[in-house]
Amino acid sequence: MSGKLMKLTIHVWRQANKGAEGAMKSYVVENVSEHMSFLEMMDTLNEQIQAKGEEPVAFDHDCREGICGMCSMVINGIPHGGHRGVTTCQLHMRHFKDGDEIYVEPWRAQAFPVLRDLVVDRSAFDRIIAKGGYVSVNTGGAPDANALPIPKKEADLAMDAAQCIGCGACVAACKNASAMLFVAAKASHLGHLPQGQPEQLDRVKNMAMQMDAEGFGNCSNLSQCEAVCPKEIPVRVIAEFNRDLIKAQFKG
Amino acid sequence: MAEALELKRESTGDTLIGSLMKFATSSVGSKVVMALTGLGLWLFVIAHLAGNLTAFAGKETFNHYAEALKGNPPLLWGVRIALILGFPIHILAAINTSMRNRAARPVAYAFEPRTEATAASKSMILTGLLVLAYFAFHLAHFTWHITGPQPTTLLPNGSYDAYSMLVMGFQQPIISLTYIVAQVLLAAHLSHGIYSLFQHLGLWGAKWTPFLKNASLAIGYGLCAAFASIPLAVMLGFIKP
Amino acid sequence: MKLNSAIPEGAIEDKWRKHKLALPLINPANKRKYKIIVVGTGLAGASAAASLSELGYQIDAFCFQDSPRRAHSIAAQGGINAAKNYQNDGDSIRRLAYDTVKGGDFRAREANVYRLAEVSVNIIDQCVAQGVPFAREYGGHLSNRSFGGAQVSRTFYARGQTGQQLLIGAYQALEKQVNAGAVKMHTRHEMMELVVVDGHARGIITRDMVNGKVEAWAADAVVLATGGYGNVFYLSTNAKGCNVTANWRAARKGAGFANPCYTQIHPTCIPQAGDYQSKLTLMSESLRNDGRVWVPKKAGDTRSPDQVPEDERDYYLERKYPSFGNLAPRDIASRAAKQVCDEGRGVGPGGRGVFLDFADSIKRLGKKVISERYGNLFDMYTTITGEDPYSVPMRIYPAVHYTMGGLWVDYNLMSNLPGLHVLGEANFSDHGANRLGASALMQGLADGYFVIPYTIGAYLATAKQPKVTTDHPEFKKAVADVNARQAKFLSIKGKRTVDSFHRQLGQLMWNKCGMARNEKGLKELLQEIPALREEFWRNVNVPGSAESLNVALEQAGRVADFLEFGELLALDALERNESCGGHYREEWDDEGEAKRDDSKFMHAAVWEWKGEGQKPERHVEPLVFEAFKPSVRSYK
Ligand SMILES: Cc1cc2nc3c(=O)[nH]c(=O)nc-3n(C[C@H](O)[C@H](O)[C@H](O)COP(=O)(O)OP(=O)(O)OC[C@H]3O[C@@H](n4cnc5c(N)ncnc54)[C@H](O)[C@@H]3O)c2cc1C
Ligand code: FES
Repeated sequence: MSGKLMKLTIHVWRQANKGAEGAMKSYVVENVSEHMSFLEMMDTLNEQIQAKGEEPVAFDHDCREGICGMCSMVINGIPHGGHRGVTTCQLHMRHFKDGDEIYVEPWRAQAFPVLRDLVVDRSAFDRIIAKGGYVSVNTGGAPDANALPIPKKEADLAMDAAQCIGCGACVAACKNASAMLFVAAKASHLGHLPQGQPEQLDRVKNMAMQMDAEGFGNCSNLSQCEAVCPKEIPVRVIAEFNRDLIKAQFKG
Repeated sequence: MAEALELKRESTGDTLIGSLMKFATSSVGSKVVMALTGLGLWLFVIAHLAGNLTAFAGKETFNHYAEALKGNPPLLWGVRIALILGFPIHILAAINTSMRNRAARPVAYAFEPRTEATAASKSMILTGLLVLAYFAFHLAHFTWHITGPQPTTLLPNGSYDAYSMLVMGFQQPIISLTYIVAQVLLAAHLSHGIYSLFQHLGLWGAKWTPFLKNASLAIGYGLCAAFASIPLAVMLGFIKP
Repeated sequence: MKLNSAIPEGAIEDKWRKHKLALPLINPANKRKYKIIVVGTGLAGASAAASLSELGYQIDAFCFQDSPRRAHSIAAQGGINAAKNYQNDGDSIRRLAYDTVKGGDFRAREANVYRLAEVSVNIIDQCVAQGVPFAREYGGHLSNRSFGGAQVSRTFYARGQTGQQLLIGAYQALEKQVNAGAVKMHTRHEMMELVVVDGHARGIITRDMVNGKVEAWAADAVVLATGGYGNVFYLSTNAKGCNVTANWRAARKGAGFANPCYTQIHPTCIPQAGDYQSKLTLMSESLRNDGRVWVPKKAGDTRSPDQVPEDERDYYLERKYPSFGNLAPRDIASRAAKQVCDEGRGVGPGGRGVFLDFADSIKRLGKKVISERYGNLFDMYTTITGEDPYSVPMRIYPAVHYTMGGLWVDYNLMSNLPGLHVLGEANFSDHGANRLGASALMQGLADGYFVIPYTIGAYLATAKQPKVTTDHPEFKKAVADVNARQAKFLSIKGKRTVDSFHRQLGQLMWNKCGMARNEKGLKELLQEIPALREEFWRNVNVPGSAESLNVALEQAGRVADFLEFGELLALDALERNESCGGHYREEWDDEGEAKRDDSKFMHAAVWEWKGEGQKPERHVEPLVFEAFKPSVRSYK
């Protein structure tokens, strides 16, 4: 029932709290089934660690099906482990082999301080959204949903960008810890819809300002973000964002 | 709702210039500045190449081109000022962005990943600096005539024999080699830079990404080949003194 | 315990409209003086917090994730129902209400359900205005599909990520209000206690999950929108963090817990692969539109599926329910799967699985069409199992998915504790004994956007409670209780991890109170849970300290609550001596279908906590059906 079993060496970042010094620590996990998800392997590791009276490795996770954006591990240097369109929680151990050594690290960015072990603070993303990642409409009084037809193509483009799960892998993968893919995805989602258009220029301006204030880096167009994005959001959204932002300097 | 909107649109009270300056130093803005100056420098490179290629048409045409350029101070100074401004601004913006980038990723990963990003895209600073260093040498040789072999005689019409200087220079393998290496570096820089500038200026749509990436590569190395063809032609004897 | 459902007078069509007119209002300038706590920022909580703050109330909102955008609502795939009748196929508010009441096996309060159907149309309008990118037709209008066996196409969807898109809409509305300074959002804060002052809910105690700080928050009213309790079964399709703590703490402070035994088992989930399994993944129900469910006729047949000839296969849903076939409702399809597996005909490792086979559809429609329809689901299946459903039939098995039970609320969504309002999956109100597909999202948003903004004002206008601060002794006491409980967990230093207790509880619950329940099993369960709970308090090992981010400690609190709540669930299942919807008592079986006992159980069971070691008391709210006549659900 448990498939092929493996023994692995896990090097994992341990850090007691936000201010503390951290370090990589190595553990050996046995009886890892190839059918386990990566997080189930981490659960198994934690059971073993706790059996020895140590505190388990803290990591963020919730839905464990690739949609909440909570899980966030850099696995062998690549956020979410480097399989296209897959989050850490969906990564399965069949991609590893007996005897492998695996490096597990938290997202690394000035704007995402480590809170403990693999848990980082991503509230910067919320603060960016708060600066304009919405349509300023209150509850009530909305016109009939079909009153304004939206070309399917535009709706699809909006949806492509709206799929972002806000996990922050883009930031973690970028050598500059840039949040451009995340920010631009939101702008692209709303910018492709007539409902989002009236505020688009203010939106990009204010979100870009907050993005800088949070201490994210610049986009160097390496497309590492696109490569690791579990929702495969394309870097074209960044070009759209730049265009709107330039426009906003003159019209905004 | 009105309240929510009020709060969001914190007006900065800046003038257009003031706000543009602010933008120019922001993360996206400094990239836009880099893109615009990069675009200028790229156009210069193309124009320069076009001029250089006249060498294939022989001594007369080439020297004529050099004369024409010199004989047109507005054009010459236009280009010079553009370069004098373009280079430093391009570099300042680069410094600004890379400082921000360093600060944004203070702790490195313990495991260095293999990535799909090209070497060229990851070493823009390096290729940029090397090209800059070469540029200084190049000026010293071809513009200020302080290094490299220089022709000892003037042309019959009394002007400088740029063609001979070119040929004499490239007949020296070490000069040709540095030149070609510099072109390869420039090509690397452009192969990512051109794509990047389109991206930073938001000048293209979804369909064009792969095309643009390839085009950027092709243009970069195409320019390199065209430039390199001149020293090669000299050394192989196609371009004769 | 006083249970006044507060259903307005009048014909069902007029109740909500008239009620809204009759509700006392608070003048806008005064709204600012009221503070409301909203716990939970899923669809229900985020929509409520945003809408209430737009009206002027001061909001403190809490969630345990690191961002409101990650609430479990994000995981909903299929869609959201609304009686828009855009397809001109005969849908109406009345029909949606009727389907919901019937789907709930006539165990829901019809007035609430009718209102739900009524405001469903506004939800879609609101979401589109917010920029939710619903699927559209080429003409630019909204697209619909039929879902969960409904006979009309009333489900709106955004690819396979409807919950995500709706939640992001609500989250953005919330962040808009955060930016306006009208909502204070507290992420990574877990509610540990409800504070009741003079019989009114007046605040909560939270734990800051980053630094362990225990804090008290006072307000004029409390809204719980903390989701469902499916994780009492350990393995479920719910997110790992879903818990009963907020609800259970409120129940222990006097809020009635209604119908805890109503749990929904979803038939199409990926089967468990091993003991280490941490959660189960739902595969959208839409797969049953083109997939055929079968098992081998012979028990213990371990041949690979392509080796089993056609006449040795049992397409049991098509055989038993010829008119609905593979589209039989969730509870029925789930039980049928369990039955064939119990007979030893299950497939895959462990024998707990049935095939969902697309071979015929692929032959008929071509691989391309199938991949267009289900491509991402097939990919997801491959990612998880490593098998390719285009060539090998999928294996599926039922899993716990949704909980219809929850805190009891009246028509105004207020619990029997004045001031405590409960929204979304956390309350019991709309789905009776079984929820129809695409109705939970609808309910969460209906409650948050369109019901609570009206009804909470009426409470505030009439309650006239004095202001309290966190200096009040009740707050002090609650903080002390929380601290003491944490200290207790940390001091036990036993041998077993928290997770091992949770798993064991889950197994007990699933085996004896899962898809099929009987008196004997439930009685055993009612012995086993207290024993496990006793061991937990003696032998659990919670390392670390209370003053830091401590995942084991967080989990300990939740599991301790599940260990109490699980017993109530089992008790409710035992006392509800009938079958209805998701609650299937083997004693009450009509050829494999749930047999209701309307004469004895046409009511909601509402449990009152009587203290530790005491048997909780069962109260009832009789259900009266005036608009819709109870009938027998039959899908033969
Ligand atoms: C896999 C899956 C697919 C589904 N698909 C559909 C579908 O297609 N259509 C449909 O209609 N329904 C679907 N559902 C059901 C639906 O998603 C949920 O019922 C609904 O989203 C619940 O919303 P909610 O706002 O009530 O709670 P949730 O979204 O669960 O939110 C709970 C909130 O409470 C907070 N919280 C909980 N406990 C505490 C605490 N102690 N302290 C502080 N905060 C706390 C959480 O942080 C969170 O913010 C699906 C469910 C699952 C599991
Ligand atoms: S845990 Fe939700 S995306 Fe991984």
